[in-house]
Amino acid sequence: MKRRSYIVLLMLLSITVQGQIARTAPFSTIEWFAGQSLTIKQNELNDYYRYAGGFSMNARTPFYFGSAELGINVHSYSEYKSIEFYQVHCYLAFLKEITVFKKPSVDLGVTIGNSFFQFDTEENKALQNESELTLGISGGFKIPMGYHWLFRATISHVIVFTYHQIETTNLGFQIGYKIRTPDWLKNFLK
Amino acid sequence: MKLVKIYLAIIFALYRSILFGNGFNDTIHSYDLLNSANFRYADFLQYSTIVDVSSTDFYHWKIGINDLTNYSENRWELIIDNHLVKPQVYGERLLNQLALSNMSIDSVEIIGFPQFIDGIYSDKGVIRIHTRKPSQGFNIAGSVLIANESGDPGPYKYTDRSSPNVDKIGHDNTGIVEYAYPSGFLRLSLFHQQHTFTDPAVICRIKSKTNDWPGANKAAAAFDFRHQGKCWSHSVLSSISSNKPYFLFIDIAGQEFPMQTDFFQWSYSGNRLNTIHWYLDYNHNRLRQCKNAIQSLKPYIQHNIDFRTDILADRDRPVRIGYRFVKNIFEDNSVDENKSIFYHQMNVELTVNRSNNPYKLHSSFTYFHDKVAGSLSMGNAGRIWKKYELYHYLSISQRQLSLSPYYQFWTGPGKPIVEEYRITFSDYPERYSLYSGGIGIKGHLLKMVWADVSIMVRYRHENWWRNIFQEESNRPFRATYSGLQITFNHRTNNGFNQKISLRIKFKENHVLDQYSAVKAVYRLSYQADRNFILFLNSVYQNDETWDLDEYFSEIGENNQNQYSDWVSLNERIWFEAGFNKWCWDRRLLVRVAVQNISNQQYQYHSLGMNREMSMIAGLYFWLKGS
Repeated sequence: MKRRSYIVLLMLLSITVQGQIARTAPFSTIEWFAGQSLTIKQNELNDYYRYAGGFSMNARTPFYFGSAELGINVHSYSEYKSIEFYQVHCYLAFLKEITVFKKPSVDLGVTIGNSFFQFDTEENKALQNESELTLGISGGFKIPMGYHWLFRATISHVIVFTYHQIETTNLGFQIGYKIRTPDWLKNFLK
Repeated sequence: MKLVKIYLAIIFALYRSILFGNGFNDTIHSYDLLNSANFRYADFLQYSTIVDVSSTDFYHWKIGINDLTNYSENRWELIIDNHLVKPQVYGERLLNQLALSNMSIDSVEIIGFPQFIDGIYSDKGVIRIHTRKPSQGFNIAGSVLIANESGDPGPYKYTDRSSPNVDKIGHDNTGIVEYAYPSGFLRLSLFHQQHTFTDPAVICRIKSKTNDWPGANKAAAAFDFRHQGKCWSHSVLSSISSNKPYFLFIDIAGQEFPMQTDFFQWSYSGNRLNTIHWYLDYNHNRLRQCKNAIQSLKPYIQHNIDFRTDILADRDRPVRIGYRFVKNIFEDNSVDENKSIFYHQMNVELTVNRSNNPYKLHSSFTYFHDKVAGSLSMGNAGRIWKKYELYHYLSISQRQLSLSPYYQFWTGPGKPIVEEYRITFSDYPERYSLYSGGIGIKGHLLKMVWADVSIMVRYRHENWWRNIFQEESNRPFRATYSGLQITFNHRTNNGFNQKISLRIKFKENHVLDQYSAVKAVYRLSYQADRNFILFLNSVYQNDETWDLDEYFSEIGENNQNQYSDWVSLNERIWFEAGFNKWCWDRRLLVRVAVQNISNQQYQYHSLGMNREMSMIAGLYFWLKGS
């Protein structure tokens, strides 16, 4: 399973690299998304914690041969056999969008990020927080609703590279708002 | 007819190569450093196929260049912009303790054959770092790099599935202020970096030597001044670095010790019309004991003074005559008298046929403790057919001593290690011979493909290593080496650049000299535009094996070395990928990369720390004034 994940990641990376054929004007627009994010599949973590839900926020912009997305997912785990914690997952994604039926589009890409595990330090001052790197794949379906507003459903599979690796599959539903990138920001990013 | 001409040209060049030669270097440019997942400049050496590296903590590196030294030797020379710097303790050169960062580097030249360079004759290879020249006016630059390894306990930390925390590659920060005027510049650089030894592979050994917190660090500052006048040129480099309060954990002749060090270098070099050169280098290396050391080396201070000068006698048929004086003074608080060692060296370099296919002939003589060492080397690089260049060298050294002062130091104030571990060094090898030669051809194979193929042959004869483990032994150490190196570089118009290098060694191995025979490096980068670059790099090395027990049984002695359980390193494949994004008119650079993507058990030493998959992220900025 692990090896298969790496192969998929490398293939996606390779596809992303070679996808320069349909290059887009980088940073021309920014799409802001926010919504619910739910972990629908996880491994042994359930033996120690109870998943209590989560939400996500991200910003996406055209980026050379696809899109780049900067995002944050927050998941809450309540106390079961160990103390409760928040998982704050910050990530960067490179995605390739394909438009279907004129307006709706599907996207597929790779994510790289860092997960911060914030334990309930208010009650346990001596406890330290943890952070760990993550890799994943992400896909989504986006439907424009008017000129600015968007609806998006996403599914992502993320591997957290802790000693005992954590693999989670997350499902998200988001509302988005699209703007033209201000010139000063476009010039800065370029 | 054309083929016959080519054949004859190659035969002629091969014949001439018996007499003359030059080549076999590798150059790493600043963009190579950026287009890889290396964290510190020393990490990058693993991407050069002429370099072999070994490390127990991947902070302190033992480096072998083109097999010119043994596995455990670290005797290459280090030159920064004509300044010879020696941040070393007990002969171990500590590359990461230099007051230098990736940001300051323009290129790194790795010289892999005996050569006369900046007044120094080195038969162990040279790492020559060229720093970048600042833009006119005031400039401020800085960088913040962080890294995070996989393998932490994460949310399992407070459960029965908890595991030790993994924290190795720490932060690496740089700040640079510089002012450049038309004929020179001044530069002040500040550095801080952190490294942690949290790995079961080394932590037990560290705990048996010290109770200090297991980590290495560097706090350093450097000041550069350079002036290029019409006739006169001057360059000054001053730098200071310290790893207090933490320590380095270094293997010296098979024994590991925690060490705290302070280094100070002051160096001045100049030239007049590029005909007379002079160099004055002062290196102050201080070894301190760790605060909570259980076992440590004896502290000492080394003063190293190195003066060199050379004169170009004839511009049309250049003859460069050089003189070098080196003095080492060792201060040991436990003895009243300081130990002092010096030697003189005379170098002569003749360039013949300067205008058409020049070749260089170099000789070096060293006077040291009533002994004389000599070397003779010849090199040439010439165009043989349209786009192809044939290069070749031949070098002979007889007792061209390494002259690393620590060898003498071992027999002087360094008594504790001799007494405690029964290790002895002779002052110098009774006999040392090096015969070395190589030939290569490079040029454009196709319009966009550049190729370089070379063959090297070497024979070394010395009794150095025998004496480390066996006092009475006078049996010689012999190493024969032959190697083939092939490099292809392919560049396309739409931004793709790929380079593959392969090194294969054919040699009679010594049990203590077992770097990988096959090393292959593949580097791929894609430049979407000048501000965005993606890269994917891979390194393959076949297995390395040691058998110290066999070695000691050969010489009829019990193995008293702590490394008796050295066995092997399995073959290793390293993958890394990342990107560089420039923003704000190239004033800001964001670097993100993942090392060891396959998360393979990756080690540089069989007793060393494991290098997990890690992510690095860096932010660099350059603010240019006027």
